Amino acid sequence: MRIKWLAAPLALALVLGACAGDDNGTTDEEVETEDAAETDDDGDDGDGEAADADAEPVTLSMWVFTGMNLDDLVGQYEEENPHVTVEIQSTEHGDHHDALFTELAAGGGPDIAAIEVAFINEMAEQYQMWHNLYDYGAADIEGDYLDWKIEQAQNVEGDHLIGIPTDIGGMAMAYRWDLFEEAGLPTDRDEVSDLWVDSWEDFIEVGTEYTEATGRGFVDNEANLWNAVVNQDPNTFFDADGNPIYDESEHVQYAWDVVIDAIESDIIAEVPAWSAEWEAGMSDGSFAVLTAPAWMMGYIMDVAPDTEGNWDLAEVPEAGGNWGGSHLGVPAASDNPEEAYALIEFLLSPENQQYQFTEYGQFPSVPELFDSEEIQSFESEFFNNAPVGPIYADNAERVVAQNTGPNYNAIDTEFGDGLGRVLDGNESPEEAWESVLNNISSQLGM
Amino acid sequence: MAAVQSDDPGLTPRSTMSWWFRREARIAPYLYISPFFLLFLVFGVFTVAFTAWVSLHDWHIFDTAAGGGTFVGLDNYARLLNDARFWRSATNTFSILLMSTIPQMLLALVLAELLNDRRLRGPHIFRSGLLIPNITSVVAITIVFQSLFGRHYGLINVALDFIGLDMVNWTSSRIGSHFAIATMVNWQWTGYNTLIFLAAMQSIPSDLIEAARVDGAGRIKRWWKITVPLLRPTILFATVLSVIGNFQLFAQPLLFAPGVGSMGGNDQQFLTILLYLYNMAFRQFQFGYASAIAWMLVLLTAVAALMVYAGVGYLNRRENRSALEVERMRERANARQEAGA
Repeated sequence: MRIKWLAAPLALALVLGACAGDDNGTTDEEVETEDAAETDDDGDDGDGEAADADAEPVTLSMWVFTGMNLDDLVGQYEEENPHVTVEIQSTEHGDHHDALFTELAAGGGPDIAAIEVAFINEMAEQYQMWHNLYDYGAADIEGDYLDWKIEQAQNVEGDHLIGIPTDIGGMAMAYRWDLFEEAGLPTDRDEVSDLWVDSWEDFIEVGTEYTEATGRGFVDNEANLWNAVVNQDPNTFFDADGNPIYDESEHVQYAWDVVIDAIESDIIAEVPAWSAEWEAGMSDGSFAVLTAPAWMMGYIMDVAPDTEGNWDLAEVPEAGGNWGGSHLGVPAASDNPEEAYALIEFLLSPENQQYQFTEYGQFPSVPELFDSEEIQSFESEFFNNAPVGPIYADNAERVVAQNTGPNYNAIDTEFGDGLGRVLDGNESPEEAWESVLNNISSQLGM
Repeated sequence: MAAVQSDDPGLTPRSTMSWWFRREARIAPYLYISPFFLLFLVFGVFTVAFTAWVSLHDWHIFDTAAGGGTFVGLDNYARLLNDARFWRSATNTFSILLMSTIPQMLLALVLAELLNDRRLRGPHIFRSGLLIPNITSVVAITIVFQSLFGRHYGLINVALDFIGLDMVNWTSSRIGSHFAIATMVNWQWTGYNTLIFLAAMQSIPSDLIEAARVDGAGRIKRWWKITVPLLRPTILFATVLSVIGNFQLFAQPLLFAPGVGSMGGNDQQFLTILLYLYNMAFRQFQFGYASAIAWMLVLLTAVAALMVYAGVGYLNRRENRSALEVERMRERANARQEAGA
């Protein structure tokens, strides 16, 4: 009798378990196959019209990370080239690169893959895992892009190009003028810039004033502040020849001291970057400034639409700096390198990079656009009509390319962790600096 | 069978047939079970053996295409013994294991006792309910709990604040993060263990319990003195499963603080062994070292499981006397029944 009653829940468990199993699979991988339905339709169209166009129908797989927002342009390309079907897989930044490395090492990979700047050096070292885009006509267009972005994607000899640049991440400081007003600070973007443009020290002073007036954090978290400061100089973790200098670099030490100073001045809101609380914080005012590479604008507009008009942009202290920006490349395993290259060339053309900027805030890596009428006159309503075009264009001309090297991202993570330990009160600044250097040498064998 | 025939192509079909008939009885059973063993050989034995081989090499992911890494003997294991981060992950794993297994087993024993009550109406509803956390996706559970344990707006911190206590930074505090992760494990697995215990309880002869009742033992005493000791083999089974499962704790700590810094917290507060292995293999791409971690994990799991067995064996010997008592009780109950009849 009793045993029979147990059978019911077990059967239920099996049925539900099967459902949960499916669920699990997709959530685990955090894979969204975007436009699945649309892609199917296009595939049918493609079959129909391929005969007219005399082109072999082809399906291109494309791996990007979240926030690249290439769907509009891909859709447009599919419409104009009915024989092409593109399957976009968009994964979170870290997972995307982990999966890509693993896939490449196993001799596989999609037809097109995005490589973020923190990983471009390691990929360029393994250039044989990528099709050489010079074989497909990249030499004709490389002049359109910033030299340093092209160099990042070349092998040492400079005759093998693994990727075409997407956007660059010139820096500005996004701030909530409504919260500034509340705290009795200036709200006009030029006046705000004047408050801190000379030094990070001034920035921290403004923050202290804000925090004293409101009792709330000023800047979102230690990691984003660190990114903004450390990326202002090329000689951070590696010198120009790619030798590791993270333990002796003056700029790394300087950036560390700035963030420690900010932690000790108690102006950090302690909401971890990319967390749900961070996204909520953009609306609810738990912090008032956010270091904002151009692409961050799109992110803010996306997660905090109700703050439209409350944000504005000022200059970043001590000017310059670059955070992010990617390349699109064709893994060697792709059987359709010509078609893949044609799509990349289209997606990253100067015209379409301009579209990505005005639509999603991704600043072009095409210098001839910097002075163009469209960019120079581009204002953002969301950012209180700030002239975001000229602000980022001005910054882009001052961007210095970081020297990169192996384990760049892992080293950066160790420094970020160390600052986190100081913020959490688990270690003193001196202990944290020591443990960061120890961890890098023991973990990465450097 | 085609394979068997082609082994000996010179034979005529007729003699092949008779050859087959003579040996069929002996060979066929092996053929029937061979699919499993072939698959097991490829995906089980080979991969495990290959991991051991890789663990003896300095093997970066990109070495794979070039045919393998450099042979370094036991260097990876030597490095492991001195790797503070590995031992921190091992202590974390052990601490989370204690914080999840012990409360889980106790709670499951109590719940099973409550559910094993004839007066309970609609018992199947409660029993199905117990399984629902277990069949929910671990990712979904973790995301919900991660939000409950949020630093500023998490429900638990809000509640702590409301009753006048300090908010806890769950991802920064080592013990706090262990508590949060153990809570997720407990949430998911308590119901499952309850059902296992419940099934075992139903096979306990009711005359034992009745005899104890007649002797004047209260419900708690009957549960602790009779039910629990008789469930010992089941508890052992459930505990060993829980230990093995906890050594493989991965999704909860991975998703507990997504997107920020290192896996397992900025001070490795909740880095588990498997998370460290994953990080080494698929973030740092040091396959050789990651394989050594995998083998160490096997070793530690085996040691822990043996320790559980040894502990229970010790209890068994120590309490042989109480088993005798149970036997005596049974005799007394029988005697009483006979006397009554």
